[in-house]
Amino acid sequence: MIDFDALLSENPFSVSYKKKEEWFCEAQRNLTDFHYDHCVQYRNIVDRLGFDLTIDCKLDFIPFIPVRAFKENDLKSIDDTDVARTLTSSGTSGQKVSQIHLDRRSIFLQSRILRHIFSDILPASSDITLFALEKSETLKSKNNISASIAAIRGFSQFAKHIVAIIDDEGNLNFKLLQDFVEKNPKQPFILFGLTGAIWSQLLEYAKINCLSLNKNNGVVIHGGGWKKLVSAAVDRSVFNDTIKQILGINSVHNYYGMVEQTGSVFIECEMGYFHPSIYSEVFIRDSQLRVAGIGEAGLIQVMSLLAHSYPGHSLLTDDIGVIEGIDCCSCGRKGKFFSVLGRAPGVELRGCSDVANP
Amino acid sequence: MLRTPNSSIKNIKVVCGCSTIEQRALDSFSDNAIAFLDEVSTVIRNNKNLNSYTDIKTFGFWCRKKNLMKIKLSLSEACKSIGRGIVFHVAPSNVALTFAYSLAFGLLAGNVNIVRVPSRKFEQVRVFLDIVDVILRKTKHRKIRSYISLVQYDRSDSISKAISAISDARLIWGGDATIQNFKNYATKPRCLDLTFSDRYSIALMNPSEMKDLTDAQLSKIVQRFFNDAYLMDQRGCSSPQCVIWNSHHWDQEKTRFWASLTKFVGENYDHDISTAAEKLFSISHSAINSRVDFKALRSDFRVVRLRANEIKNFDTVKCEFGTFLEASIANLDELNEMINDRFQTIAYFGVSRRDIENAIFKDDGMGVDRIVPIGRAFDMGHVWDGYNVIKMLSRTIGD
Repeated sequence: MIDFDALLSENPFSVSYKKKEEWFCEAQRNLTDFHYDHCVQYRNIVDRLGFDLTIDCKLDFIPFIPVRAFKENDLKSIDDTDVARTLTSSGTSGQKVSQIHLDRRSIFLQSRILRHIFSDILPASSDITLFALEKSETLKSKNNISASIAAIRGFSQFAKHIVAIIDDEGNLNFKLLQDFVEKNPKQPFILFGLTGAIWSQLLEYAKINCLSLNKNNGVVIHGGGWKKLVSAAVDRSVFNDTIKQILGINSVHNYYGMVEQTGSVFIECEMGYFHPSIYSEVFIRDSQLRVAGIGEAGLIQVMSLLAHSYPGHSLLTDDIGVIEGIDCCSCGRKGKFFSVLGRAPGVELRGCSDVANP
Repeated sequence: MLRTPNSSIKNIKVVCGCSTIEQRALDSFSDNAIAFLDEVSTVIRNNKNLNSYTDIKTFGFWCRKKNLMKIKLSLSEACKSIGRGIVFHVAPSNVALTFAYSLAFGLLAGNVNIVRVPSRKFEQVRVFLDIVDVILRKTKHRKIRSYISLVQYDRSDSISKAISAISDARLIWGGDATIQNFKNYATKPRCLDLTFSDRYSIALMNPSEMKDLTDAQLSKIVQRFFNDAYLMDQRGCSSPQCVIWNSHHWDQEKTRFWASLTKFVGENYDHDISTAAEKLFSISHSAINSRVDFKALRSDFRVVRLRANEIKNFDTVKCEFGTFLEASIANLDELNEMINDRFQTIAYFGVSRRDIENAIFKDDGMGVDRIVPIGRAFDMGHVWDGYNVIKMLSRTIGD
């Protein structure tokens, strides 16, 4: 069993990779064994793909399964009756979505750990307001919730108020932010949303309507990828500068995470790199699925200690990334740090069989 | 726009040939058709710039007059035969040159051909169309030009429907989903459909015959196998999905084959990270859902062996991008445990064709339309998927 109480009392980013590797590997190994015993589909993957569980534990030997496996299969390691919540990936229309089943313990752990990870970049105050770039009805939905909603729920323990700033018609209510900053100029707050939505629904809207906020103590947390912004030639520095100008916020943090590993997200540091916490780890794999060297781009493999109710503790994503260094980021956080370069471009399909083709 | 006997079809581009369709027919193997195809052949064979396009080169070699006359001879009967009329060719969108063969079959049978050319930007398609266009503009080919309409259009029910309605025969490539789609369109009562559905193909090899091969000789076999398997990422219907050894022994030879293949693939196949992601997903999907119990050997991810003890249900596992189910059998009769009507090609090495035929057609053989030496899996011919296509596209005049 992983001693989460002990982990929760540590700084989530202060452990060097060397110190972390051994116990993290053992924890991963225990999760592997657990899912092997409790999820027949997972067992099939491990056995048939030729992962060897008899050899000595080394972190990069831990089996990994493709994230997409959750879109095609219902994978879980708990009884149906123990499923307390099902998360779904956002996925554009027509695409299959992942279904991630959580039990009560997982939900509890996810939100505590999310809080622990973000405590590193958020003010200690217990009186924080969270502004979510969502509709209030979306925030209230009961079941089948998306990763970002799950994250917002996770924040709810240390945010006193959660305010949806998109109204029911889908329009931005900028005044909510303005009023708050005017009344509480020094008060910290969080602004949370998808990277693309913050740009198009908030920043561009404010620009067109000449809206802005005075300098304040807010923190912007955003994630979900830059895909929509690449075509608009918006990169991190443009994004962060625009936030500073329009919203008066200096502290902007991107996060990298997915519904398949909600809770153990990777946070972007002041230098612009993502850092695993003590709850997560990352490898980059090359075109032969071997561990790639530092500076070498490849597929991102993510590991989490929180995937207990479903076999998602070690996943190979379709994202391309690169390890920038280990234990030496100028921000002072220990462990590996990495960049996400985007989604793998996919393969051009050949062959005689078309997709349905009138 | 394409003008047909019934109507004018809009939003369709005639990329080559004639834009007016009339229902008519030529004699099978008409001088006009042979002269046109032979000129295509000559132009392709004389153009050194085309050497990198093996598929165009292969087509050029196939449609030379000498070969066409050989086919004519093999089909010759006492009876006269003549085209059926208008033939609609629906070529697969992911293979470049299938449409060229399809057109040639239709022309040789004596038909008017509406050929849907893949709209994906294949370099080979553009090159081939340029060649044909120049030839068809010559006065001497004016007659055959009125029998050829190469068209492109975006997915459209109404266009496919309109062409289907005037067709006397349809060749529907592109697999099960496409076929199902086209079967929903009304056709003339006498319209003949030749459908090319999703198929399953295998490689059958004799390891003992590899024992005395030098490294160079083995590497030739490996290259042929590579062409069959890797050139289309195993997604062609003739690509071997699995390797069956006809002996439980000779492990050293088997290992040597895979090692040689791994080396060749390393030098000749672009296995990028997208391929790796797609491939891992595909294998994981099979691992979760497959009825075949396999164990992967993947010391080099470019050549993945999924080893199994039994060959039953092999065709339920989709293998792609260099993934091979692998099993050994004690004698060829065991092949019948796996063969069903989805089986298309057996590509063999070190086994005699006659022995294979004897084993699989002994009782009530359902399945297997082609038995070819390794390296010939993609060799297109007028007999395909069990159809004698030229013959079926013509009317035989009885007496």
